[in-house]
Amino acid sequence: MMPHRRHVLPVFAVLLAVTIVLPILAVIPVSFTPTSSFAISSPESWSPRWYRELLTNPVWLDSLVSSLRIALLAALVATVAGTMAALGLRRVRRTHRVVARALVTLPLLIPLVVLAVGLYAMLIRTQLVGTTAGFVLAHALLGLPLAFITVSASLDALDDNLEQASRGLGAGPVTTMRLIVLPLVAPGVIAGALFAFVVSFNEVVIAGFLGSPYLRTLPIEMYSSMTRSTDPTVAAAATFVAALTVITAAFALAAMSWRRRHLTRKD
Amino acid sequence: MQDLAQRGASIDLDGVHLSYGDTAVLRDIDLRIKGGEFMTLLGPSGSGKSTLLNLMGGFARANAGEVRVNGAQIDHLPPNRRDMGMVYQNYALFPHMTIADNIAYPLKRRKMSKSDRAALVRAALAMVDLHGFADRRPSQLSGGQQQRVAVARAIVFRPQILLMDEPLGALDKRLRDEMQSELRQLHEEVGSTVVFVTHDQEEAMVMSDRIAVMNGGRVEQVGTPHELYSRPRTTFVATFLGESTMLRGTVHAVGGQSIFHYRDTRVPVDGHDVTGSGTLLLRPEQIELSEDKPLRSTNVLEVRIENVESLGPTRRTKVTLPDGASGIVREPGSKTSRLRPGDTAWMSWQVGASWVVPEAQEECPHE
Amino acid sequence: MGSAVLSGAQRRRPRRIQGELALLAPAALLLAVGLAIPLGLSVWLSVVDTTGGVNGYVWLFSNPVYLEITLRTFSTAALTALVCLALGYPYAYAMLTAGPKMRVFLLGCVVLPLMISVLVIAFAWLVILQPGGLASKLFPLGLGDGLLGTLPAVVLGLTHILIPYMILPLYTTMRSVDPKLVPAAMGLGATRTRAFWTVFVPLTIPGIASGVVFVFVFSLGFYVLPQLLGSPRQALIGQTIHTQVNDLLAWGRAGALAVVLILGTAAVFALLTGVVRIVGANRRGGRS
Repeated sequence: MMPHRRHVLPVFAVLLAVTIVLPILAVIPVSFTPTSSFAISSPESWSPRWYRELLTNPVWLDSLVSSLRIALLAALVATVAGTMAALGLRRVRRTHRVVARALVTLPLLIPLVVLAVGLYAMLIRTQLVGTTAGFVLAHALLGLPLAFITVSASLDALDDNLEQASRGLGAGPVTTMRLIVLPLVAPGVIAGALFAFVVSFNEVVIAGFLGSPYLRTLPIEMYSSMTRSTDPTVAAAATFVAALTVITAAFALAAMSWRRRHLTRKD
Repeated sequence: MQDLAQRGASIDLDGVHLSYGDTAVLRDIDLRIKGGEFMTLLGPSGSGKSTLLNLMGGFARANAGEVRVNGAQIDHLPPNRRDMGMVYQNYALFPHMTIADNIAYPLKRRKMSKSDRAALVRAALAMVDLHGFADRRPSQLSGGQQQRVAVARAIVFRPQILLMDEPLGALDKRLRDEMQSELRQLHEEVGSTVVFVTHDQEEAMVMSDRIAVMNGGRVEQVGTPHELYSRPRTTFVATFLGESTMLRGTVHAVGGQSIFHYRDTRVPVDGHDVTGSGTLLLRPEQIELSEDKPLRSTNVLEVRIENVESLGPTRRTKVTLPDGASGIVREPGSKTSRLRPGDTAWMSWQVGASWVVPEAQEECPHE
Repeated sequence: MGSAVLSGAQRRRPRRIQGELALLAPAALLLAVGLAIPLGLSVWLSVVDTTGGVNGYVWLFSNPVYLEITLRTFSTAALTALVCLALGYPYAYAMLTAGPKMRVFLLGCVVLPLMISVLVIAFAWLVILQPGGLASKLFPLGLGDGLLGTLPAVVLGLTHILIPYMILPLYTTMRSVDPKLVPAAMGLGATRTRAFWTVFVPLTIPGIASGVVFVFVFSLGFYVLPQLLGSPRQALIGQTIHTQVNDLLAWGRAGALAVVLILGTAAVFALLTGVVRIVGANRRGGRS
């Protein structure tokens, strides 16, 4: 791009970067607004009013608790299934592994609405709409590829000789898995679990189909609040959700770079 | 202090064959390794030496044939029940454990008491000169130190057999020379049978009691370094272990005596009942060069000097043989010589030094 | 002698692998129950369910409104992909040529929308674009007003969410281009601009293609964001599916729309990965 103008490109990139980040930050001053509108307030007038509303109004609080419960369970299921699949696919022939990896990552590529309709059609026939089990199934499916990909990456970086060495030194396959393989891929497993948690916690499309008056997740509550009114509690919720996402993702990235720094050989 | 000395076990391989799909990696291998012996598997990459080592360790399974330790068949045993110490080129230390935990790992697997464990770990660390490193992590150690830890971990549980897969391959030349003599000494002290894999012929010659030279999934020849050097059975073994001059000719039996014919030259050779075409092998230090034609008529060839390299204590001369092939001569540097490239000279050798390698035996249909 | 040996080999190997394949069971179950059955059910319903007397496909193809919606959805996705490419290509190139600190900053900024909830981003733009909001203050001529509730606002939101999926593959591909090639072309007499367009850009086609695939495919499936930033009069497939199922219980119609969406997604995916494969094959052939 116009390589002869040396500064045009960096300036453009920084502007775009700022345009990507700033609108998201605009949510914060709205969440502290003292008024009952989506007004961007100045810091001296800030009030914690809408955060109090978020944590005391049973409608908001219940949805927050439901979201956390579903996200934790979904992350657990996705991580266990994804980790086991990553372990199981290690010694499989290359062509088979490529097919299996494509299948496991498929949930990422199917349009969410399509998945949501299908899940809704199935769960309504089994009376699981509006239940934690239904949500966990759907969200675990979305978390599965993420857990699988991060754990696979950790396993790929694992030196095969370590397992051989452990076997040769007297450990059986199960002991080797427990003492050598799992501790070494643990950061990858943790990162995968955190990503799966974030995806479930933020998911709104499938939740829009599967929710019921008795079980609503926080994103659904936020969505219906946005379409209904200008209640700034949604800004507090959005800030909370975004902060939790960024913190969780930061932990996941930290776990992965810790593994790179401490558990791989320096040559 | 705990004693790590051990009595090495013998290993016997009988008709071992291993293939992946259509590719045979090991072909009908018979090998006897004596208890306490330092046996090296030497060969180029892809010759099957590492696979053979993995087979002994239980990490690969043969399609046919069997492996016996002290006479007992072990093919069905998983690696963790074979009691063999293994050392890898990349050390394979567990990065999430301290040095002491790494070394104690095989002892814990054997349910040894804590106090016995501590004593053995201390003894093993002492043996590889790493006192005071017990609480460090592998990533805090240099390559040479990591390799010592790997060795300590492999000997600490007193295995009767030590398997080493190019353990010095990742070290630089100086460190490698140092570790060679250390490993040799360790072998003397510990007494286990060592099976050592390398592609470095010099390393193999320095360290081994015996060497098995491997090529294309077969064992070409087994013998002491000296036997392999002076009495190679195939041209592959001859060229893989050191330089040589090769004269291609034929062997005829005349009376009770075998005579090697090379152009007009006739050389009596001993100890060969082979007739037919073959290669007369001369090691560089067995040949003498002179400017004038020596008086005797056998064991003498007229050659042209190609180049002369002075290497200090020795002088290495490359010559062109009458048939166009080239030869190598190494003489003491102190011997005066006026030979220059392009000169004609005479090479000669002692009759006893002659050794004939028969032409590719296995491909001879009538054999 | 070979055959006896080989059959022995085949009998010995698989036992261990079978044990490891058992580890795949939970993931396989999850994919079967969570993906295969629901998708199969949708397809089945699209054929057999006859809300209003006709099957979903007949309804879809006899109603020009819904064909229009389908067309609008795909063109919105295409537009989003183009905008992402136009903004993302120079951005990725800036990342490539930037110093290490600048690169980390640019990378960090672009990874953010990858993780942040769609709702948060939609809400942010709702705040900015609302009447009397930030946009109308920044663009006093009324340019910022009136944007909310239009298709351009939807494209804006989609671009914001999906631009990482353009920039990251582009950057990865650009990094794999030999940095000596452009100077080499200039050494052969090309101007800098010409060398850039004739040497560098063609080598990044795989990155362009995968970026476009991701953005296009993901754009097709949104319904929350168009619902919040767009207008019900300019609905997209996602919203229509939601309406048909939740409000009208018309499973056959929703199923038919879902099948159209999936087929469209698969077609775009196949087309563009095909481009990548052909370009890649040509490149390999040319190099050797």
